[in-house]
Amino acid sequence: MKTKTIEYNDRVVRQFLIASVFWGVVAMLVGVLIASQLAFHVLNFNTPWLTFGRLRPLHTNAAIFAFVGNMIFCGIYHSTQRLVRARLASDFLSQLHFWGWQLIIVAAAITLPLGFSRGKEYAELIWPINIAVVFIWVVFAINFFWTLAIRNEKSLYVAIWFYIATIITVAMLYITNHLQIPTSLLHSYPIFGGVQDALVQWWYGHNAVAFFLTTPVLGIMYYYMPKAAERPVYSYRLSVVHFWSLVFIYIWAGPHHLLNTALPEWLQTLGMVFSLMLWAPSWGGMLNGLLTLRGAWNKVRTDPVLKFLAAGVTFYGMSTFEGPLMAIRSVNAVSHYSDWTIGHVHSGTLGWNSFMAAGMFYWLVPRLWNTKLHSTKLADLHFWIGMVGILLYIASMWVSGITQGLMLNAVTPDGALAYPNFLEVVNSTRAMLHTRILGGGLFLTGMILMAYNLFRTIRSGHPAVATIEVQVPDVAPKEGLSLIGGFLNPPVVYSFLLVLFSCGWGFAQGMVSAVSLVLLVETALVAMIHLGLSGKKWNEWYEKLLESWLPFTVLTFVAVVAGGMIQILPTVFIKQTAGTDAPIQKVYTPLELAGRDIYIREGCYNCHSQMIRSLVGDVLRYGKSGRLTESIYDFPFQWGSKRTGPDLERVGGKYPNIWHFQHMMDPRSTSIGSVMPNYPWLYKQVTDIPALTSKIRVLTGYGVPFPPRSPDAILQSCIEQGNVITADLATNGIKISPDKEIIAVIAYLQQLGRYSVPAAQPGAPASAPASPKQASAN
Amino acid sequence: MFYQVEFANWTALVTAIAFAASFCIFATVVIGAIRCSDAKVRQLAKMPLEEEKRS
Repeated sequence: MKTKTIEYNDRVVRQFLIASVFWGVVAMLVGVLIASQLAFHVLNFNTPWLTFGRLRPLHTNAAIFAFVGNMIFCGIYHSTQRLVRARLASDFLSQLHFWGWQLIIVAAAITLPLGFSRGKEYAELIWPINIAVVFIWVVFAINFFWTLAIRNEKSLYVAIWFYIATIITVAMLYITNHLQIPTSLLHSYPIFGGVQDALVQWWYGHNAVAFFLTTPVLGIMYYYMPKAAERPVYSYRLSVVHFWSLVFIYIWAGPHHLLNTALPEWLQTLGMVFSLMLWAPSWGGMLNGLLTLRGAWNKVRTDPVLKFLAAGVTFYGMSTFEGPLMAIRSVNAVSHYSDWTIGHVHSGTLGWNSFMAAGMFYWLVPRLWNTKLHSTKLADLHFWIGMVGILLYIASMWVSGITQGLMLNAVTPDGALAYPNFLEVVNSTRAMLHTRILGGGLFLTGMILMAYNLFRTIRSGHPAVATIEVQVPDVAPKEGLSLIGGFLNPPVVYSFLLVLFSCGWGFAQGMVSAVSLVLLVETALVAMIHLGLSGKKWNEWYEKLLESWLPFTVLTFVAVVAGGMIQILPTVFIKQTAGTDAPIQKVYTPLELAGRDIYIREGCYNCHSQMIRSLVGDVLRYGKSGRLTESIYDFPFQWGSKRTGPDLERVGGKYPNIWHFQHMMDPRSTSIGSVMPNYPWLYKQVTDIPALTSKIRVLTGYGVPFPPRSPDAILQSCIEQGNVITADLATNGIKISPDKEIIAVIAYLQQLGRYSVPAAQPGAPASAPASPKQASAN
Repeated sequence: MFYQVEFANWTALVTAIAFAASFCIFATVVIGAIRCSDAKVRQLAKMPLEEEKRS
């Protein structure tokens, strides 16, 4: 044994901290702007890069990846070094990680307002940036796991487990949801379409919340809460159960974002049940965090760090109670597509993420710069302003969302819609939209106060050098458990066989079920005898696992990948049109496809859904409920997640061309009280017809049955269809060239809800409505 | 709902094995955590409290 002094790499920790504060202010500034745009449409300024549809993805990406991303990297790098008693493995990789991540954020901040978008929520960034994200994430992973490999502390604290789960699961989710084929340097189509894309997207979207915004922050909670309270975590065993329960259950819950839609029933039920199961581990974790403050509650009155951490953990409990509640199908019928969801996510990001970030920053900055916090009173003021801001925000969104849900679903005793005009619902919630601006503005003010307070604190100190002395053995010890040993050991093998035979007994039929039952009983007996005879084995295996990061990582990966496979694989490998007499989506004409890409560029999916749910209110308002086969050629799917405006799945043919023409120029001219932005540039910009050749080639590769067309034929087709629309507009005195973008958008909107009847019904006319039998079957 | 889609038989097998793998990991590690020795748990719980030197 020899004694060695370790100097921690806190430079990168300081860099990520400053970046997080900066981007946090930017993200929330954009948030307040887009909240204001929803209340006052003039704030869109008739400018493409300032419209809501383009800025909303900027806000969400900035809040998630820039603000929280930098915050978790800061916390992970700081706490990991202390927990494993080792300096980060590579200073170069640390710097590459930091600067690479900031470049990605800058690239996102430029491309999103310019309209370069993949059209998938929280996954809008274009493919070159996606590759950069994957590269930098790999850099982060190498740096992290390399540090674990050279650590001077055998045991792995539970916070490290949460970080491991974050790194591997985010990689899996991000790569799967960003599988795509480029059509140009700045554009691509995802390889999944329709229901497959919907499922993959919300498997990703939900678990981005779980594994980017929750598990790393829980790791941070398990490190900084004991640190700030100066006492160990309330129950370490509970923290372990918390970890494994979250990892096991969270990954299954994605389909709750698609309740009451055309998603297969079994997947909806799966998502709902696993969401409800999340109540237990989430509240177990919340209680574990709060009870860590036992005996230290008096400090919460005076210490802003504990104030923020305690409130952050409480908001974690609130939002993880609310989430499963909203995943119940009947509650979801009210909450989905409404402002309630917006309130829910902000109780998580503002209450949980931002407050935990503030607590961590107020604790870290004086230590990282070897000084005292500039002003405790200012930090207290930040806390109370932020708290009032959050409460105003989420309460207004609850009121607004529940109002929207109830009004849109309300039916009169004679079976008609109680509020047939969508704008009646929009205008009934205006006061709540104003309250949201106030709440968001207060929270932003608190963030600015924090930035100022931390800036003054940093100015008063200097970067600290943190060291620790460790005892290093002369010969490096081996890992406690080999990779194979992580799996091939009695507890894991017996458990696997027991669960497998249980599945065989429960789900198979006939002989397979009977044999499975016999094997189940026999395995249980053998396991009991084996583990009874060698009672210590189970504990030995587990305690070795706590010291072995590689098998631990693989076990975590297997747990999360299994949940994903069960949901994703069946829908990826189904033949969506086989054996069905349901109507099938019509293949887009080139002009309609161009219009669809403009629709995606402008972020229309942020406010308009294209999925009529199987609910009375939806069907009465928009028409027959949506079916899987009606969006199979949509790459990406456009089911949406919010209805600031009405659903558009069957809007084709509902209004004449002139209505769309005037509506897009000035929505108030056709819809009094609308909050939609004007789109004057669509009347000046020319549709990008040459790009359609490669776009159609890629989509044909995906199996979309486009008829073969040369580039000239594509151009000719666009001109012909454009001429039909412009000729119709001319009858209303409108003169416009057929190559303008508005014509492509009109062509796209007018075909929404048109479909073909499959060859199984040769007598049926094209574009015929579905039979009542088909409608009721859905 | 299933009238719209055609599932391959192998997906049922994949589902069962994936669920078994996932659930068995969950069960074994939770049982392992519950049976973990008190001394080990105490040692782990105190890990964040170690102080460092700053200059």
